[in-house]
Amino acid sequence: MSHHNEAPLLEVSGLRKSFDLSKPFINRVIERSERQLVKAVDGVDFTIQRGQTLSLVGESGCGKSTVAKLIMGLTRPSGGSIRFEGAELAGQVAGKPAHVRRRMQMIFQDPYASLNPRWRVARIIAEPMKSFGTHPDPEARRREVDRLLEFVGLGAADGDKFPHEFSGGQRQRISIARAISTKPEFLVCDEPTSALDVSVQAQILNLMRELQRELGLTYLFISHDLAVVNYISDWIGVMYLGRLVELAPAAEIFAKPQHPYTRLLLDTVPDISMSNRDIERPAGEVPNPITPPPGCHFHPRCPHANARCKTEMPEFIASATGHARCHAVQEGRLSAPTTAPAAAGAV
Amino acid sequence: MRQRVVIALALCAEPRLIIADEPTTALDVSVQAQIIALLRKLCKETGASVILVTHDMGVIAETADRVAVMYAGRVIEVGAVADVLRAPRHPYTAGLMASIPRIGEKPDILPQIDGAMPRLTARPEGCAFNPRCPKQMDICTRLRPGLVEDTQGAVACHLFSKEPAT
Repeated sequence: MSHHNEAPLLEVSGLRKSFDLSKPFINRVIERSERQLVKAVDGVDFTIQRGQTLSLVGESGCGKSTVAKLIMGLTRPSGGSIRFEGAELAGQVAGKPAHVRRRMQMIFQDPYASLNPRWRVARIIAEPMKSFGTHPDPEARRREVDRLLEFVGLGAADGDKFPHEFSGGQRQRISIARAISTKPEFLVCDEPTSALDVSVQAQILNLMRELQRELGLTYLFISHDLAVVNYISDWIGVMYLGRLVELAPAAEIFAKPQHPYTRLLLDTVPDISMSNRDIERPAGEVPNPITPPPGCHFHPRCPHANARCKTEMPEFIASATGHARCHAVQEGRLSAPTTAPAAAGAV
Repeated sequence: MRQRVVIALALCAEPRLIIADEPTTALDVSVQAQIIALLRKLCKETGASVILVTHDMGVIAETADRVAVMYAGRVIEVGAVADVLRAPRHPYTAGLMASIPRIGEKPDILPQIDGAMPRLTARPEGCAFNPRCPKQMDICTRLRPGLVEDTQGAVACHLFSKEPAT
């Protein structure tokens, strides 16, 4: 799935996660109801090469944040494998094995909830260094905190302040300083700019790109904003109800979207050039993930669905630009994709 | 669906004016597009006016007729949506528009406005935007520009003052 021949930094295959929504056993016996499982992640495969960025996009509830949590060990997979430079992480708890986990960190969506309000910023940033033992000497640790603060565009004096003294963008800079404090090689970024204003979003995206260039970082980037994803990514994976429906290089997925869902997403991006203000908008909402439609999950909203799509799940196989999970694409039933106009996503 | 119910509630007294405060911020793109379309259709049919409060330029482009840009508690630019979005005049509006990533363009560095919105208790002297403004002049640190109306709309910036800065 990549132009590179070297081994990928992260390799995810057949990743699954089900959550049990069943009523308690005794209720099930009395009401004769079945167990209810929601397949939040239902067989996801991708690889990320060192120094590259893969983004996962999709609507709420498609499972993209669950993939992020599974990779970081914040929740345990129900099946499949997660390999970081060959080391198997599926089934291991958060933080274990330490020598691998130290090389992976996460930036969270909400910069107001992800920083401890009772800790000073220096302590927040030093915590990963302390827990992984990378800087045992407190004075060296504080010097490193000061360096990190300046590196992300804050001042060393800011280490003595509390999180509430900072704006959203500044807090996200603190989160980034914390994430890179143990010199990780791989960062999972779960909607890092969704809570920020446009002008601040640009600052954070530029900072992340700069860090990638200077430190050679590899990113898994989660977002619902296609324009942001277009700016930051090398590869893009589109998720729908727990499955990857398309995976392709960023430039090609926007120029030549294969899967009908990718086309729908591109059509719904508000267009700031105002060239097609009055076009008809696609209808439908994401179905309830507890009872997903059979066959291809997308068929109730798909303009190209036929009888096969309603019964048979399409395989995730090679397409013109990458991989796609669609009978119509595989049978060549789809017309050539239209090139998307210059558009902007949510800001 | 919930937002549709809220819109129905807002419309049931047949108002002349609807104030919509970030109506699509919590929604996914595909649902957002539907809600925008619904809001526009209903307004056309009932003749109601809408004040849409949002930070999403895409939604503004799709929905609004006129737009007023605010900074630090004051309106700094007003105009027809097409004019303001395509040819912003105030340096803050220009910076905002430039900093939005666009599909089909992939610059190495996204244009950004440095710094942050000032605290309202510590508003800078003169024009509130002057410390972050790439076109800052002497007068900007001393005198707050008023919102000056002209044929295109209105803008509060010394660059567009009728009398030359003294």
